[in-house]
Amino acid sequence: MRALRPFLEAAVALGLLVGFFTLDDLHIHVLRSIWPQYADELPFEGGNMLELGLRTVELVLISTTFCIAIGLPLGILATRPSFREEFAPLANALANAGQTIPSLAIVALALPLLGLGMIPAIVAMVVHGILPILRNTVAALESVNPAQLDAGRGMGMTGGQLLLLVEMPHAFPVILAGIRTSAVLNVGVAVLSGLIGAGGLGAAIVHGLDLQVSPLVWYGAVPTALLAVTLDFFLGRLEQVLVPAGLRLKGAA
Amino acid sequence: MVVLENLTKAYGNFTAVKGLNLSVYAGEICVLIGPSGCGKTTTLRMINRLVEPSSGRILIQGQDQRSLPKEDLRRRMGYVIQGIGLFDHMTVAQNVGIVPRLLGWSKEKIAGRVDELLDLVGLNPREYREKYPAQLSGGQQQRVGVARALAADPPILLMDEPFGSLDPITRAHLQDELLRIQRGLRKTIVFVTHDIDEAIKLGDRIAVMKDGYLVQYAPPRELLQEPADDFVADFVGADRALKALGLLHLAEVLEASPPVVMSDDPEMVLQAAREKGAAYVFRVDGDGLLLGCYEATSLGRGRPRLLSAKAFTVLPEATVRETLSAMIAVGFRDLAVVDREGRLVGWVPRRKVLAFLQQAESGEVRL
Repeated sequence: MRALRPFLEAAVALGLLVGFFTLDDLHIHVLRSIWPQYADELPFEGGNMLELGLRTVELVLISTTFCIAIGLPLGILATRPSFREEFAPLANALANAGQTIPSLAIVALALPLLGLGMIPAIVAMVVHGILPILRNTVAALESVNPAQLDAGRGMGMTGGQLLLLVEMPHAFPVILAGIRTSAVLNVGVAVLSGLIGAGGLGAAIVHGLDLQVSPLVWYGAVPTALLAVTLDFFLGRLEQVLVPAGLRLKGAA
Repeated sequence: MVVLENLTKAYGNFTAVKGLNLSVYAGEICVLIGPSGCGKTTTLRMINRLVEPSSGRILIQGQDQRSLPKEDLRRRMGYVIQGIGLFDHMTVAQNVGIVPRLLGWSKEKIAGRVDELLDLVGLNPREYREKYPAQLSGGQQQRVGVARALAADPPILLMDEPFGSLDPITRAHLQDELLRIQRGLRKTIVFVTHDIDEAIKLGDRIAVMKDGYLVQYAPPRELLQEPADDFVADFVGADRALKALGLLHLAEVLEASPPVVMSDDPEMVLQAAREKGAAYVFRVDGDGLLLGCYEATSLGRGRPRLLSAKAFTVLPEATVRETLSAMIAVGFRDLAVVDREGRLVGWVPRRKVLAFLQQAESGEVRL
């Protein structure tokens, strides 16, 4: 029963989120009754809440997938014995630079370089979201207990076996935390990407700000916040399920 | 047999091991000992190529160890290290089964081997198989470490201060267990320690190292009797004669038939004491179980008083050192040799011990 708990919690959170997004008529009705003067602006011309939300989720999923696909191998590579000395600091510096640049600036830069639409938005999100994954992967792999590495090597593991059987299981929780940070960060950048025509909930916010129509801003901002919180919660439960039992025990001891 | 030939390891200007020549004989425990920084661990790690020698070579069963890929070489040697060498994300069974898994054994074969090994190291497989290292005591973890090293039945075992972090009682117990296992398996073991008592207890031969050089390589008794130089003499300690007694079995001072009575008849007690020249007479029951003892010198009229003999007993496997210590502790009196079931199997008269020490003094027995 205790093992099922994280699954149940995640399912309930997901259910609530989907429920909120499908109650489009209710949201429009509430917003219209608060701001009757803007009644004509809703429903939003860019789509209903579920469509906008799905687009944002799409942006986040695609960009986070790329972040993992680039950040994780880069982090692993940077910590291999033959690369460690040169690459680990370089990878860190690179990723740090990516995050030092404000997300708004990255989005703004993507526009002249790559134009409008989803692709420049995804590029901006990936540039910004690699850091937490790369940094956590490097930090996690470097913090694996040297005695365990010694034992693994001493019993005849190859470099690959050492990585898969010893290093990754130990590094896993910290890497997962990096992925979680990256995904939540990407929700924020996805909203900013409304500025460069990537669509999604950000489009409603940007449009509302442009026209100074408060209900439109609310219509985009509230579900965005809800999405970020739910995503964070969801990944948190995933972490609980995926951390190896022996490590959880060790943490508790 | 493992032969180290002219083995040298230099790190920049610092030379950790200097032209070491050493033969580890098959089926023996070779202990490498010396102060910190003497090169003992470096030497051990060169055997499985965790450290590459700067020059010299290592022959394993006559074959240069560099003729095999590193990984294959290591899978043929068990490796036990101090502290947390167990993988704490794996269960006990997964830890023990790791080398067989690397070697590609079938699941059933691994499971069978794991249970066999847990039994061997004194852990009930059904209870411990699915536990994680974090759920075990330090001593239990180290047992799993030994089981893991033995998993693929390697002929050679490398042990780097495996019991260093354990409390003295657990350490002594695990040393006994290692000796018990070794009696059955006859592995070639290279054992690194900085504890001279551990070395004397476990080693068939002891290699004393200092500043990267081998100072003396000899069986424990020889090391204690004829230390090669002042360094070794200092290292084995001023009490080396006593330590040598620790290598001698109780048999040296044992007499088979103790003065016994089966009743409290004063006449019988007196007669038994006279016959054996003993100050104390042991009382046993019909099964030979020791009940207590009578003091023969203070026999008065009436029934003698039965004294507890608990403090006056030693186990049959005790060493002369332990026997002497027990004897001193009770005021230099005769001791009863009692097995684990409580049966009286012999005795150690103090005159015998005195005679033994006199022989040692006159050189008839070498300590």
